[in-house]
Amino acid sequence: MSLFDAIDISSSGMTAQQLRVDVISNNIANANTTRTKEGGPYRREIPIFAEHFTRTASGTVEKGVEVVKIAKDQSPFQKIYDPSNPDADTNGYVKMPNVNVLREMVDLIAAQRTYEANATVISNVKAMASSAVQIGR
Amino acid sequence: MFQKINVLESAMKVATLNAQVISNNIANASTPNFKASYVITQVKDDPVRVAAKVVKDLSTFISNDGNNVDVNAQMSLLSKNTIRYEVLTQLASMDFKRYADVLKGV
Repeated sequence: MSLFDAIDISSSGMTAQQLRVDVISNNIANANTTRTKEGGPYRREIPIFAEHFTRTASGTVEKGVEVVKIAKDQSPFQKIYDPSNPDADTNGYVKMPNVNVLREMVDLIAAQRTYEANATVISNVKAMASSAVQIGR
Repeated sequence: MFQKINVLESAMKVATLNAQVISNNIANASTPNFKASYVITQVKDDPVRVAAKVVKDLSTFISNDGNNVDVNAQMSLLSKNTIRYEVLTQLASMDFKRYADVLKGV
């Protein structure tokens, strides 16, 4: 137990939110991508967060957050009618990615705010540590 | 002789634990099914000290993904904790200064 542990925990939170922003920007960048390596349109990606534990002599302790995997959103693709598109099927429908840009923007704001909260925790803990250094001066 | 310093030290340890618990709560603010933890303090005697234990809040409900971290509440807890810690360091400093004054013979 030390103040440095609190800083490590918050920095794991900042790393996780940073990755979330990366995934969101990839989703938005590919909002209209109809061709991928796996074939078919782009599938929205979601980072999966889990509590991170470390084992110590005194048992397991919680220590921040970790990203366990980046999952694919399995919800159905939206179809739009566009017969002139080279990727259209015989009925003239094109399968578009299951990315909702509005939802991604809301997620982006949430990630940004959580990142800021973690940064504030670090500066608070830093203030605590420097006031502890002042004892006896 | 150092009883007061020892009490202050135990209180600072509790504040450190509290900072750690709050930072873990905020780091997991978007983890599904994560439950927030809180530090409960208690006065113990012989020797007089502040003791603490960490409990999980399993009763409240905030969002649909099973997470119950209220970031605003956590930030206010953190600010209070930081101020409390700084007060404790000031008190410890004042106590040490007392000894220094006595030794110098002011």
